[in-house]
Amino acid sequence: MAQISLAALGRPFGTAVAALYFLHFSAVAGFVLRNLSDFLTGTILPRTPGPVFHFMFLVVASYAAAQGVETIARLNQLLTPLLAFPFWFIILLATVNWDWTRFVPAFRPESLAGVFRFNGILGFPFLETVALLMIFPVSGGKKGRALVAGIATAAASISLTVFAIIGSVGVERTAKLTFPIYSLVQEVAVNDVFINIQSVISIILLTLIFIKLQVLFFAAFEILRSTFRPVKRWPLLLGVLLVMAGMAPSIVENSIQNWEWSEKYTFIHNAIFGLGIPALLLAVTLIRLAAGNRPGAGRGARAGAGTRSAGKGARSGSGMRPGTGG
Amino acid sequence: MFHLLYFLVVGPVLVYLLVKRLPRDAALFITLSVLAYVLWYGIARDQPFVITRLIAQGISGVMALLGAA
Repeated sequence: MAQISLAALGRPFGTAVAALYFLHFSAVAGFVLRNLSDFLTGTILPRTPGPVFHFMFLVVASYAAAQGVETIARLNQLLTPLLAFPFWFIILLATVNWDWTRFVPAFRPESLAGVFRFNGILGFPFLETVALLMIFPVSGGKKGRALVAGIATAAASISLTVFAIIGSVGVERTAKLTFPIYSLVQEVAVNDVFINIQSVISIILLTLIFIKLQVLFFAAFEILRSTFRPVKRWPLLLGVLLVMAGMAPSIVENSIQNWEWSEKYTFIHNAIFGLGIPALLLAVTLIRLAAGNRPGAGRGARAGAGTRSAGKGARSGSGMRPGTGG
Repeated sequence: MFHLLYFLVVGPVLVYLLVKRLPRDAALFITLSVLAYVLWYGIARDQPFVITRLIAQGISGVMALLGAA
């Protein structure tokens, strides 16, 4: 993303766009960290301050970012299939109180109209996949197909989870719960063995959300590294860590303000970064191509091509192995 | 107290980068440190900046401008 913006818009405007994306990734990481700490303080560790969790998660995420994108990808490849089975098994166990009549409110005409009126779900999480554009240059194969397949899988998983929660808990009760999945699983008591099953789902959710944090941390780090090409990586990692740790307590005031934000602004905010700016970059590139001016031929593009250049910045690297095409 | 603690974290790194004559790294680190300082100063005063509120005000302002135009 940094290289595209530098190539399409030149050094000054490209740097401004890269800085905007860094702030966007940091803000989304702030949301992720806040959700993680709220979940932990609300369920398992109520006396531990939120920033303790923020720093702990960020230190591990910065270590993973320092190791490079391949480490994050391999971890994801290893953990996600392992966690998928216990997650769905537990959700299946939790359907002992299933009642089909709980779906009746969903078929009222006003409910169906409300589904199309609430566009926040399109912004979070689907438009946040723009962070994956930072990984595209180092991934091989059919990237577009993998991205669409990932989004489709996420959409199917979220839909099935919501379906299971509504069938087991009901719409009215779910709307009053902060963590419906946790509450749903907490009530599972098939026999004495499965009483404390909520701890398993806590670990699964924490791990899956942490993978998102790792990707966001890497994206924020990499966009600054590609744009400014620092010689040393660790001061940049520390700087990103401090910013993200500050973002988490500052991102939302409380759950009511968070709800207002989700309802009114999530889609607009994410659409600017997920659709608006990429469309602008594409339009500028096409216009320059039509005018016979190849994007990336200028000084700004050469400066932005940090991952391929032979300069000091490139030698410091982002942990990408040469074989990965970084 | 907060200022001292923050300087103890950021100061040595900055001095190291300046001693090693890495001006670009130092400038980038200072920029990030100042941004983090602003955020952490609000948190330390127990009056954190609410980022989403600021963004919401920005979006509302732009939409009002577009509506007026």
